[in-house]
Amino acid sequence: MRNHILIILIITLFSLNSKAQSTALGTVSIDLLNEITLLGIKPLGSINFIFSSPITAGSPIINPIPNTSKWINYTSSIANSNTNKRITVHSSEVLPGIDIKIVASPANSSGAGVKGTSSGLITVSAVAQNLITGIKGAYTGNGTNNGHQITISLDVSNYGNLIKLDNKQITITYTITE
Amino acid sequence: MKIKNIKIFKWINNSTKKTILCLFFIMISYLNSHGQLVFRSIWINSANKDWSVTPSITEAGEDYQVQESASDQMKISVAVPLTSQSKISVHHTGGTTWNENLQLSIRRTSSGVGLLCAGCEISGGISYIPIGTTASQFFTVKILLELFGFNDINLQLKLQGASVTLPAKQYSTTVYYTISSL
Repeated sequence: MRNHILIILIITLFSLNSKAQSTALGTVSIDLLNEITLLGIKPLGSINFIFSSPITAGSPIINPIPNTSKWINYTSSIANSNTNKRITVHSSEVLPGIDIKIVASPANSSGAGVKGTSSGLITVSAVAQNLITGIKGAYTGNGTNNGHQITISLDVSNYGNLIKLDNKQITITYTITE
Repeated sequence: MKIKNIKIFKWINNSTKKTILCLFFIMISYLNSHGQLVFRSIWINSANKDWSVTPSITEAGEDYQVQESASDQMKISVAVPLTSQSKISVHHTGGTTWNENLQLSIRRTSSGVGLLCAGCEISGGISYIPIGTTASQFFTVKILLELFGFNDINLQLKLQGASVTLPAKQYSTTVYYTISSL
């Protein structure tokens, strides 16, 4: 009997010093804390508009063909669900007698998230106006055929103010903001 | 000092002494490299137990890319009884500090270092397996005779589903590695 007690005692002493661990653990953390706000116009490069002279006397100036080559891409993340972002547009100057009009199409199916809503056709001026509103956490995809297609058109709005312009360059600025 | 001269052993017969010696050597064989007596044990190298990632986006219109850790991001070691088979399972806690759209995967990129190991075998887990909130088998180990188990088995992690569509905040979870009999 005492022999058995001794054996049990020895085993117990070893067990007390044992490491009966069966689970180990580590942590994984991902930091998405920084809100992201990125905007791009694709493809890069300028676009040209040319007004054509009328063929017959008394006819109006022929407006240039609207340009649909540009696409708005954006990436937006938000920390607060109440946050909305918007894209505004303004021009470096206004041409006498000519309206520059811009409309953004609804976002296409590329990307994901809560993409923005087009504000419809706006006449661009030196003052920033909303082009797209209601952007939350979303991305549109990068490049042509992703995001919102932009249609830019130039119309004569006032013949009385028209002046002759050669290679006039105007910068249209798009800004994404809260 | 001879064992027969120790007072406590005087009332033990020779047969029992041999039994005690056998038990002693068997237990010595269960000591791991840290000098701890183990029956089935798993531990993680404290210098390689965490993975923190801060993804970035450089182009408008893009989302976060799939994140992949270094191939030796985590190192775990296991010790198991002689002539036994064990399985290592993995799961994570998830919870409020996590988002169900974030998908973790893990794979084994090395077999670890086994010393004085005979009939040792480690298998499975070399391709990514998803880590869910319930335990799933990761890999198995089989040992016939060895002293120190499998040390520093390299593990690589992959994170999918990080997106700007998720609320911008810090996400974290705890990954559990559990060893049990197969």
